Amino acid sequence: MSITTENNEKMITLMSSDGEEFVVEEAVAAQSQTIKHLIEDGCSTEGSIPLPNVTGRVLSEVIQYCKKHSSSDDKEEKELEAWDAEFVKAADDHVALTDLMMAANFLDIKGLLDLVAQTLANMITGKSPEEVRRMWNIKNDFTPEEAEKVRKENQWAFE
Amino acid sequence: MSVSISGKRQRVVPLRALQSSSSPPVREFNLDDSLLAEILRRLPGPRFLFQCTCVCKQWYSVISSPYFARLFINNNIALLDEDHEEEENNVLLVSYEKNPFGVIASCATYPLFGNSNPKTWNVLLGSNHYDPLFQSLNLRFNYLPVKKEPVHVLAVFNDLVLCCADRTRRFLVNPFTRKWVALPPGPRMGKGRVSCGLVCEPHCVKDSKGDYTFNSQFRYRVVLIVDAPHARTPSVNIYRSETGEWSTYVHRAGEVAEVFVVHSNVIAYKGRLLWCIGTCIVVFDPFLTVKTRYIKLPPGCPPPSAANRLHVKYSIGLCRGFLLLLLGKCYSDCTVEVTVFQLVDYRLGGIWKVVHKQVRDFIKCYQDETLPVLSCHPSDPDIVYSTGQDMNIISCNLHIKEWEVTAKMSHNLITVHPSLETFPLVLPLWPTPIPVPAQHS
Repeated sequence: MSITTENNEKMITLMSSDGEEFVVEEAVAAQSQTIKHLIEDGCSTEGSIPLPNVTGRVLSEVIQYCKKHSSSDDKEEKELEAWDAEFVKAADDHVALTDLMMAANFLDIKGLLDLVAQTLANMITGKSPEEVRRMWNIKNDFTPEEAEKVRKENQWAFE
Repeated sequence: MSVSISGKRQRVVPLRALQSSSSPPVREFNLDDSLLAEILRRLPGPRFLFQCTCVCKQWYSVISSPYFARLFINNNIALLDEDHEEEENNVLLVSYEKNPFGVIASCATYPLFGNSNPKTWNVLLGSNHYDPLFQSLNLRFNYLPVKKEPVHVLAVFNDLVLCCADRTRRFLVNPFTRKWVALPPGPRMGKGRVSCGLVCEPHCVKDSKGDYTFNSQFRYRVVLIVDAPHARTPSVNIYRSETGEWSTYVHRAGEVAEVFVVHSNVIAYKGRLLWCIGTCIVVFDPFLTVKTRYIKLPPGCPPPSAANRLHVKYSIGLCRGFLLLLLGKCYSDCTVEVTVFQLVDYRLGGIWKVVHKQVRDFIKCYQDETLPVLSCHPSDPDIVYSTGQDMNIISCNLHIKEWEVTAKMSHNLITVHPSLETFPLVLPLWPTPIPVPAQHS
């Protein structure tokens, strides 16, 4: 559904997978290319936009990011960078970050996807495969023979 | 514990537990391939990336896909710039022969990676299976099907190494990926000092859209020049990767007579092979599209000859994309004078600039031995590599006049008349594959 505020800002409602509703300015929501296209195609007039892949918890974070980035202009680049750093820090662990990454991907928000992917890459840089597995809870699904083969293939990278 | 109105006891569930039940903290990693690739392409440099192949099957398959390789190089495009090559991936490979006419090489090694000081270039000495240091590194080539080690390094192009074993068998090897191909046996060549050049077309090329992509069909050339002491002219053979055949090179009209009398190392530069002869630097195009070109030596350079071979030494190299000429002169009091020239205009090939001229008395010149000037640094024109006392490899900073031992040769290998050769070994952003050998009947 589409409402208008006093400032004449067009508002739209986003609905998370767990039924939570978020009323945001259209300009904020349009940071997401996916939502932008839905609005352009007239999908928003029939009520709220359902986002079946994003939970309320994640969506609220995404909206935080979009709000910040739609209100800032290029002049505040430094400040925005600092804000981004704080933002991903608050996301705290890799589970929250991967959730955020999947949402950014689904909603097609390039800046957020870049930010989160880089944060995740920085988390594992310099860690051994064992440490990476432990940190991100990844199952080692190689058989001992396969593990040996892959390790041998890439031995140079460990030396 | 609380009591409900009905009087029945109820278990109190902490609020935290309720909240976390919706997103358990131990959830397994569950990104799809394309999102995983988004993370992995942002890793710094190929070394750490390839370590990540060991994490699990998904990571292995993502990193191994050609699609990802392109994504990775385009993400790290700044590193493709010649000036921004990761220094930790540069290695100076020094190999030496036990006698000037043999192909027996001996090597010791130094750590290839994990360099904390970006100014130092790791030095790797050529190959000896007796040396315990050597075991730690896979530049041993022990996976090659050779009857007898050691394997002798003939030429290096980025991360591809051309080596020779059992006297006549030659292999093109990527010591990082350990992939290799055996070259067909070449025509018989006379015994003599072998100069060898290896030049490849770029593996990583820009497409019409400006994106980097791989050319797995890149061609390469191997040029072998044997300067036999008793032959009238050196014999030259060229291997063409696309035909998979060797052919004897015939001296072309217009080429100077001594074009193949090599008095320095042979390097590859912009698709050509370069070496120093008596009066100039030869710019030879083994892909045979352009005529041989000559760059005059700077004024005052003594032409090398058989007579002064032990007292004058030329070495050429690349530093920050510029061609450097290193001239070492040895005086009777065993002091060494080193001059470093930089070619200012490669295209026209006329203007040399003296970067350094230093007399060094801290390095002894061993009588009757090759002059100890080896190589330049790939990014610092102040540094030259040289052999010091006890045949250690030292790096000399000609600007601040300081030197340090960069690598130690093992003592049991110090032999008389070592003929030292150096090769810059560079791991590009993505390891170069060994081109598929041509189908020859």
